[in-house]
Amino acid sequence: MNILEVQNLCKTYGKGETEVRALDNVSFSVGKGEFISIVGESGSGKSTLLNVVGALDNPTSGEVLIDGKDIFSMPEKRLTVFRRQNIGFIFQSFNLIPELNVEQNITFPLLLDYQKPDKKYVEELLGILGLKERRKHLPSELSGGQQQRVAIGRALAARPAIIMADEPTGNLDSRNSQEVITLLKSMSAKYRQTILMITHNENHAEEADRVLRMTDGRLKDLGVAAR
Amino acid sequence: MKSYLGLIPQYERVHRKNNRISVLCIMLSVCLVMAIFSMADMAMRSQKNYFIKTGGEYHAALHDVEAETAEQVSSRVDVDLSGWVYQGSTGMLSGKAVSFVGANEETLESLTEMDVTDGVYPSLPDEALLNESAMRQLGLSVGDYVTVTVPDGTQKQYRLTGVLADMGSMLKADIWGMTLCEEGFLAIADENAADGTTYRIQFKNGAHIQESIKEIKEQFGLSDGQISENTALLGLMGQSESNIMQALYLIAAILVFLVLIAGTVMISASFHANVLERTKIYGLLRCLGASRKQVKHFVILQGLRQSAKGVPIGLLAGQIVTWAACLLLKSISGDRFSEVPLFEFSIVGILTGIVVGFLIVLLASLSPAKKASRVSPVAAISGSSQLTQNKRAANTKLFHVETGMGVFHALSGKKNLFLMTCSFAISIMLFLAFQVMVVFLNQGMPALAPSAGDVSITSAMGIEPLVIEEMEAIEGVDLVFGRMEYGGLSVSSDAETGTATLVSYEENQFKWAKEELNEGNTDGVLGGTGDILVSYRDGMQWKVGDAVTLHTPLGDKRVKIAGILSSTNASGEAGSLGYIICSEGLFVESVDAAGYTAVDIQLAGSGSDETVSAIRRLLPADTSIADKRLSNSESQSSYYTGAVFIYGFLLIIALITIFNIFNSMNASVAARTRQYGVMRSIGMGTGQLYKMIAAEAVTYAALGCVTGCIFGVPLNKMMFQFLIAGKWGTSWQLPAASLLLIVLLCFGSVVLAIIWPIQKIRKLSIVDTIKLQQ
Ligand SMILES: Nc1ncnc2c1ncn2[C@@H]1O[C@H](COP(=O)(O)OP(=O)(O)OP(=O)(O)O)[C@@H](O)[C@H]1O
Ligand SMILES: [Mg+2]
Repeated sequence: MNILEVQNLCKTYGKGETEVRALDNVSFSVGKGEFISIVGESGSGKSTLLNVVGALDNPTSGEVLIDGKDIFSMPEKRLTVFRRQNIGFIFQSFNLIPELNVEQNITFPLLLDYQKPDKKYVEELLGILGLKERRKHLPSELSGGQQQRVAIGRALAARPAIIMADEPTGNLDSRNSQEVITLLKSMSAKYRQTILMITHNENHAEEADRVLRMTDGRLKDLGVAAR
Repeated sequence: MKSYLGLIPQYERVHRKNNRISVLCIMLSVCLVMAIFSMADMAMRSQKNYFIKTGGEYHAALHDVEAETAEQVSSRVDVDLSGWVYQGSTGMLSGKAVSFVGANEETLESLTEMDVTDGVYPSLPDEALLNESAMRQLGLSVGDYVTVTVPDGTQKQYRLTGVLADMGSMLKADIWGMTLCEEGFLAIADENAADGTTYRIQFKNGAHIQESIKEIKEQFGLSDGQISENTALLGLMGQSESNIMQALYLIAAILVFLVLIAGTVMISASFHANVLERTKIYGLLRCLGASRKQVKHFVILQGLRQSAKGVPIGLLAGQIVTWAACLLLKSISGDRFSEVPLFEFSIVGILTGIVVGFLIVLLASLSPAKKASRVSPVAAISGSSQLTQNKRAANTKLFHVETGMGVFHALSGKKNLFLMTCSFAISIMLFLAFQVMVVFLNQGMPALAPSAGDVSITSAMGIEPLVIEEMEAIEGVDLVFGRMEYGGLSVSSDAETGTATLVSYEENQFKWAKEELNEGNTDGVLGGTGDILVSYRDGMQWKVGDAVTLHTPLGDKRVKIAGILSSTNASGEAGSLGYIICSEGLFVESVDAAGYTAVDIQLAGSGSDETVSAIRRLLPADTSIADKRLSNSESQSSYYTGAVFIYGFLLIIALITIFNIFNSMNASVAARTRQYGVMRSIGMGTGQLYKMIAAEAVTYAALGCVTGCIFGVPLNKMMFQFLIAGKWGTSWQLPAASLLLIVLLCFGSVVLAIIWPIQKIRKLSIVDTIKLQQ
């Protein structure tokens, strides 16, 4: 069964002269454990797609099914909880909570759910992310690459159905970028984690299982990247 | 743009909303500060007018001095007006006491409370003014002749040249007043005149009255008793050295200080909100090569531009609030509040408003500039989204994560925490300080008791119950209630033995007595003959339930004390054991009563003169009939003036509190909007967001309330001891009700204050919040 099913998704900004069709009848599906990369010109609607699929934003029309559930038919309260448990986000600008240390940032979605974090799993994550010695540090004391790794940890903490990553390497140098991509890839493999990642870097895109291209709001499946 | 300062209007245009909020804050602070000072000014003026009206506008009075001394005093450079006011001699007119006053026209009009309402001033020794109600009761008019028994017992005829306005004190004492010229008074004066006669002095504007009084005293070798000051008037002019006035000045100073701090805190708190954003623009300026001095100019100009917009509107609003308060008083009763100034400007109010508006804005906006020069320009523009660089992580173990973070948000920003705690604390302190003023008002100018009569009749002969029924039938009479009194009743009990005055109450008086009850209850006393009430006195041994024996003219009576009253409205003297209040039934069983000794009458509305005349006609001529309408309404109006202004202040303080909290919370939420968006994207629900912000707000409120109480309660106690304990002997108690009220108000405004920003965040889409410029 597909973990993500997107059908005829449309999103229009503005009206009349200034109307922008950011998403134009987008349909695609993603199976469990797939690592998908989305590429496209600037302004082609990639971020819009990710935000709508991740339920941060509402579509003009169309459906998004995650794990078989139509997310936009849920009332706001349920949707919040659903998003907390099933969707993880990684942003270009890290967006860590400045008042919380590394460990707290990673377990934050669990804390919001009033769950006791699984100690072993957190340890494991910290180990994989290479942040064991930094666990008590605040975000302001970390490098960009380390901050992004914390953000990845945070996205993984609740073991969501899908992780949405919007240009996770956009603010990093090439060595750190590569590290982040490798990490995401190994996560995808290790935990059968579904990941949707936007990138401008052709090399990074090719590392994914599948590449989707956005052009002026329309989506084209490029299939398995030619190696 | 001609210079770098041209950036300011551009900057304001982009940040129009922030700019508008800052201007609004300035406006409100200026309005509040100005309203408080103007209202205080107006209250003082109306009190001053009141004192002038009821006491005359003299500053000092000499007693028992030679004419020569008076002459020399009047020629002093700092004396504006002075003159003899002869009083103390009384005569008789139609069976009623007449009090004579002698003065020349100017003295009477300016230096005494008396006024001529009609006719001309007497210039010859056999010409006189008679007071209005005497003229009416005797059916006299200007130009008529009256024959008066003068102090030496002989009859003398006077021609009435005019009418003297009635005075509350005269009507209350049931006497008439006659004004003569100086010569006329001296012609009839007896030895009593020496006591009542004073030489009154009004000093020129700007004179140092205390020094002048001292000089006069030394120069003429006067004793303390020979020179007295008009304490009330000097007090309001800020020229008194009396203890109570000094205490009031001190308290006024404390209040002024607190109000100014409240204004400062309010503006600072509102400015602190966009410190971060401002820090960035100053940092950017520095980056582009602006010197520190240029940045400073930029800041000052920016502040001044905002003040220039906010201050005038604030002044206008403050003026409107003040006038509204005065209008409110006038609308309660135009004649009663004739002394309240209408549509006058208060220089003090306007000045403090302007000073607060400009000075404090500068102080508040200098802090971001300082910050900008302290942080490196690069750091300022690279824009870490944090308000402050955190040194440690939030505690998420103690509470749920959202609560923990809310508390942490509150505690992490030192300056913000300080400002917020101060806003709450100062509001509470102000409130507690003004609470003392309310107590002072109630003690110093008590509102009329419900039992107060408009007309009080006392008669040693006794008034028969039948007369009371007749009086009740008169049109315009609302309630009539009498008391029988019997003094010097000997009373014995296990605890104490002595004399008491036995007083009978009827239904109405027992009902009012409930309010005065310290202990016990009044229920059994009205109907039965076995229970009594006693009045409270210091060192009283009696307790509720004690048995007491009354040794009455009709035999011994054993009764039980059912309750203790804090005060009674008996007219006779108290015995060594105070008053004993009983039912009319018990009184009649104990004393062979001839009728009511005292009768109080309450009129419907304010009652007309006809009603009072009708009452007079029912009574024998020798009964003393005190017309208290004028004096009651005078003391009422003092109370209401005080109440409107003091409660007005309290209202303004409550508004300051609410606005301050509202504004600060709003700003605090606005500063974290982006972060809240991030949290929501990770899955924070609206309820959790609400809890987080509420936790932050409650932390401020709790800390503020504790701080407010720590400083406010001792302040309250100190002021109480200064103002009230010394004068009325009341002991200080924790003002629990007021404290509870202000604390509830604080928490209530917290709830209000967070609803709005949360709604705003909820409406913003998560995507938009994350995309927001940091
Ligand atoms: N809030 C908005 N209001 C109006 N138009 C918008 C809004 N957000 C995005 N758009 C428009 O929608 C289109 C798609 O924007 P989107 O952010 O999805 O592009 P993108 O592919 O992510 O670009 P980039 O690679 O530069 O991040 C753009 O043309 C943009 O101008
Ligand atoms: Mg984008």
